[in-house]
Amino acid sequence: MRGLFNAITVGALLLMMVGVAGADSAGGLSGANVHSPKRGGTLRLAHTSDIRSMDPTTIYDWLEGLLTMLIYNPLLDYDENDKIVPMLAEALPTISSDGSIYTFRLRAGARFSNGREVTAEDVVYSLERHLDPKFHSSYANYYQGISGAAAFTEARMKELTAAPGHQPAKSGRRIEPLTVTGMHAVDRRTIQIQLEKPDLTFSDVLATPYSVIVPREEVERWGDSFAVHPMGTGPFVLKDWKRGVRLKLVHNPISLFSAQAHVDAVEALTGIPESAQVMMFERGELDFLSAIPASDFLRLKRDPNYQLCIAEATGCNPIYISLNCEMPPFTNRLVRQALNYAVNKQQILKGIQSRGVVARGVLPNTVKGFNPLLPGYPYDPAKARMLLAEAGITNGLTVPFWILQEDQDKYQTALRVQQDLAAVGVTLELKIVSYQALLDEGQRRGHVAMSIWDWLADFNDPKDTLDFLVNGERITDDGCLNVAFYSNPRVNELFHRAAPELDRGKRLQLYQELERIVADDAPWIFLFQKNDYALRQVWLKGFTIRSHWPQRLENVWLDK
Amino acid sequence: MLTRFLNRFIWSVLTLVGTAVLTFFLLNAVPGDIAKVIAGSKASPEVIQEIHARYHLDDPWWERLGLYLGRLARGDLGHSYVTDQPVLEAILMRLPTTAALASVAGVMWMVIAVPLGVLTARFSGSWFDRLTLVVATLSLSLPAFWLARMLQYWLSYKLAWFPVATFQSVRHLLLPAATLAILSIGYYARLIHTNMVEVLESPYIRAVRAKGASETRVLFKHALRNAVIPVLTILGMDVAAMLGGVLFIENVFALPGIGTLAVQSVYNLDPPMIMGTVLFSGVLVVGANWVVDLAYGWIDPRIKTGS
Amino acid sequence: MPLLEIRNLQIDFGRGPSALRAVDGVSLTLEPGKALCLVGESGSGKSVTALSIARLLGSPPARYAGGEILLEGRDVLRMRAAELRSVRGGVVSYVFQEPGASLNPVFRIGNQIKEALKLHRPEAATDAEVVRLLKLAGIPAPEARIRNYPHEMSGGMQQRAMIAMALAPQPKLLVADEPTTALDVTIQAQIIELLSRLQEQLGMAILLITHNLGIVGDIADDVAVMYAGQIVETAPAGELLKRPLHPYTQALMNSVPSLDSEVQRLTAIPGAVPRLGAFPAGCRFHPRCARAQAECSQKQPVLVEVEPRRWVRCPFWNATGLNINPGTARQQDPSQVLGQALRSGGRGER
Repeated sequence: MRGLFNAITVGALLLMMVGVAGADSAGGLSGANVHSPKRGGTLRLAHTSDIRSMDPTTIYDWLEGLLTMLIYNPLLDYDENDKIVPMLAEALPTISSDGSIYTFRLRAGARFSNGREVTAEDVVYSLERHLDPKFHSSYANYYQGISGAAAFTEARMKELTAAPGHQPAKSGRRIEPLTVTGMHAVDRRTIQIQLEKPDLTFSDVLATPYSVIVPREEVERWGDSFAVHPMGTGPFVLKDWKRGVRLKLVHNPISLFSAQAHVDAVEALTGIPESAQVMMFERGELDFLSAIPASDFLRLKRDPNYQLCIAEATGCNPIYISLNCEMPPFTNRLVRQALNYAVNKQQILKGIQSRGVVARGVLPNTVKGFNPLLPGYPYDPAKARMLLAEAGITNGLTVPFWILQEDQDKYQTALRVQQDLAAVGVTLELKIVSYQALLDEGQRRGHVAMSIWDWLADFNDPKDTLDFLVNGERITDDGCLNVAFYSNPRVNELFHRAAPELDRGKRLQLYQELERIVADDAPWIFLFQKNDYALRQVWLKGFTIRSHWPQRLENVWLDK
Repeated sequence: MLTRFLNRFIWSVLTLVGTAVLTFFLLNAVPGDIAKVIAGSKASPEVIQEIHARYHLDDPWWERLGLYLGRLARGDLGHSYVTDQPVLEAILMRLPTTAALASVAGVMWMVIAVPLGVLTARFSGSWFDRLTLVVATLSLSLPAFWLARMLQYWLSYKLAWFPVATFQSVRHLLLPAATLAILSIGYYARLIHTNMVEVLESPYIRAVRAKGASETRVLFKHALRNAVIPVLTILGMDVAAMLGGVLFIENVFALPGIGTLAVQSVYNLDPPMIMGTVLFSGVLVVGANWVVDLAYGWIDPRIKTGS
Repeated sequence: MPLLEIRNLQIDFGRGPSALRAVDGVSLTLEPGKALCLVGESGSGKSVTALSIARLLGSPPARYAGGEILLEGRDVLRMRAAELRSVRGGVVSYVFQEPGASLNPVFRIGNQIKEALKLHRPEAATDAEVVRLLKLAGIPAPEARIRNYPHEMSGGMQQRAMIAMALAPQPKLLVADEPTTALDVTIQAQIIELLSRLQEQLGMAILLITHNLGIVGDIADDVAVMYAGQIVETAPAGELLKRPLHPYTQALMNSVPSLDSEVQRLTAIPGAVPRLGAFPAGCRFHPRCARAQAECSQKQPVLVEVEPRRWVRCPFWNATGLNINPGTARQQDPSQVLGQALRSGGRGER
């Protein structure tokens, strides 16, 4: 009976929707036009602060990423299902049998918004920029696998330090090599890139917003302020920008991708606090929010009006507590495991409105190679105490715990962890610091025993997360992203084997194997994978939430 | 006369320089490497190095201070580490919003505070006076942030009488200005009240009544003119302080003024912008002091010719 | 019809059982064009009486408890606001004790005088008329003075400006409340002389409030003496000065130093003016009176017209063979007495 009732209700609703849509669509025979895009309108977004850059070398937050993908295009792209598809490239690259040479052909008719045709030289230039310290790219390491990258970077560095005032030498001596030897333009539309070692993730790198294609003459024309004078191949161009107030993009008809971009303009209001954003959204003054503030989450989730509006990507962003394996007491694996058992992760999740899933390993749910069968560390304070005793800790422990106050979720989590650990005799001394201090000290060897971090994957491959965070060979004295300073020779060896592996299945297996070891070694307290949320008005159609940065709005339409 | 001017000028400069130096030291005391924040957590060591070089982060502090003060003397406030925008340009771009907000608010509260102050003085001791006193005390005690949020929630969000946030038209300024006004009305009304009560006891008020002037004329032409003199100077200082940025109000209503700029620069850990906004505030206050002093001499004839 | 007729005026300060009566049944008459001096020490109620003529007392705390004040036959105490405003300035104008404080410090003299003109004679509100008034008040170079602020003028000039302002609406009655008390002695005489001249020139009545008997003779047609809220004697000026009848008036006369008498020592009035609410029983003056009898502490004396146009509030006004209390008539050193006299008459009462 229940099932029948449901079926009738759903059927009736569908009929109503169809009927309504039919009444709306101009000259439509029936509701068959419900899902066809409407052209026109201005997409209205908001952000808490002004954006700093639309230069792929320095983009960082969600809006910068989103806008970059409106204005520019990379060679490759991720579709809604995280599959790599060609974008500016005509087709997926031809890869040599040993996996180290990638050949791309540019699509015909690809133009920058000033009308100039895109050439292979532009591609080479765009990727090369990341390796030139003059552009201080935050993402250079993604391109360091290209043959000749190191030499190129070194030469540019020498030129820079030789020049007075560290300004790019216009008239100074130029040092060889002048180009990255592994990259070159074969002809007007063909690029060939050689990697030092084969790496399946190179395609992923080329699908990130960092790899978008930029015009050299514009970079040289604007110099340092190119970041705020973008010009790309994408379906939108920057129309005007009142710094700190509002940014407006308009539709670019000469882009290859114009046809799939349905709105006339995109407007981003900046400098609006989250609470005000939610209010504006509810008043219909905004079309899309890229996050739901914790304070409004439950209310919106329970509000029937917003059922269709909340989009969730489950388990995207790991939140974890690093346990510095080089600093006692965390040199002892038993202690690290004990802490994992001592923390009630379910409870903590509830404390942040269950906006995530409990983590049992390093990788987020949404990444290829995620292993749902990892045992994880269930809440077991008795076991924790037992392990601590086994480790020789009889009189309890006191550990300084560095936290930020600005991130409410992390702060709440830290307080609860403090409570949980106190119950097994581990006292955490909270040390509240600024973001700057934490970055600086936490990434330096021998400074911070314990802290809470999060991670944002750039692309959908286990290497991106694992390699940065738990590869012992990536440990540096300073600026180290492996903030647990964890190094297990077996794991490091597996990294070596996995990186150049060309068999996808085998590759994933290797990463999964090393993740198992890492999970067992517990260099972290594995807390949870936070969900990503987006809030869109019912009239914003064509949006699918992505599980990694950034969200994409090029092809949405407004059905008002 | 000239010595007084010089004296004044030197002290003003010293105040501003002191502000700059103090801010410089405070910012330097913040632990951590600003370059890492600018570059992002995935940056390579070369990039960090380059940023250090570009912003002279490795130079000894006295050299950096000297460099900064030298540029200041030429009116160059530097560039934002974060957006690369010239600091002075960013501040001046935001100034109109803050100025508009401050003016509208100032007009609002004076328009209400003046009659309130005058009438409560005239009817001193009445229920009207007492009620106003209570309300005034309340308005003085209201926390700015709370009031702003409350008004925004009830009047903009719930009742949709006003836009929620941002500055897209004059309508957008009304609620923020009203919030500011409410916070100040109490203070100014009481101030005017006290001055008016004192003035109304003066012999010349009785003399004006003896001339047959109406009560309105007595209150608003004769008494107010005298009572308002000290108030104008306070108002001057208040407006100057507001021009330095009304942080809470601007933040809650997302107005792109100097206040939001200041707050943003702190969140972004952007030293040149932080110093720029602080200094700008300092200049305004020092400047306001000057203006108020001069204005006082102009408004009160007894001071001009030295009674 | 008399220009001003005060009938049995009673003014209290405060309300209810704790009210203090500052003016207790005062009656006065002033004919048009005549000058009346109201004389008394501080606290006698003379200023309160004077201010009440245009209802200028702050009410609260003052309360008009009884009586009438008839200006040109209309009772001021019962007038409506609009009528009162036209009377103030239009019929009766004031000159106050401290001219500097009675002029608005932030407006120029010219403007303030013009304001008085605008309120009652708008057609004459011109700079030329202001200049004329200033000249009338004896201010030299009046064209320049128009632009002066009050603080830019001397005390004497300020008072003259006040007088000009008071004259502007062409009032029928000028009430001058201790106009010279705050001025130098030399200026005092000038101002009194000016007032007297203006009275003649303009046919204006003057009510002059003072504690200083010395100036009475220069200007008054009639004199009324007040003590502790009551009138104790009225008489034409010459008569009173020649032959005061009330013991208080006599004592007052005796305490005024005179340049053309040969008295070596001055007589002070022993004791002090009683405070409001602390009036003695019976005659209010009796504790200080040289002629006080037993009956004086029991029965309140009333004003009696003992001779034509001469009223006295004392049953023993012409009694002879009375016991004179030698203690109360003691002689004192002149310098001390002079100081005392000046001090007690220094600032007029509120």
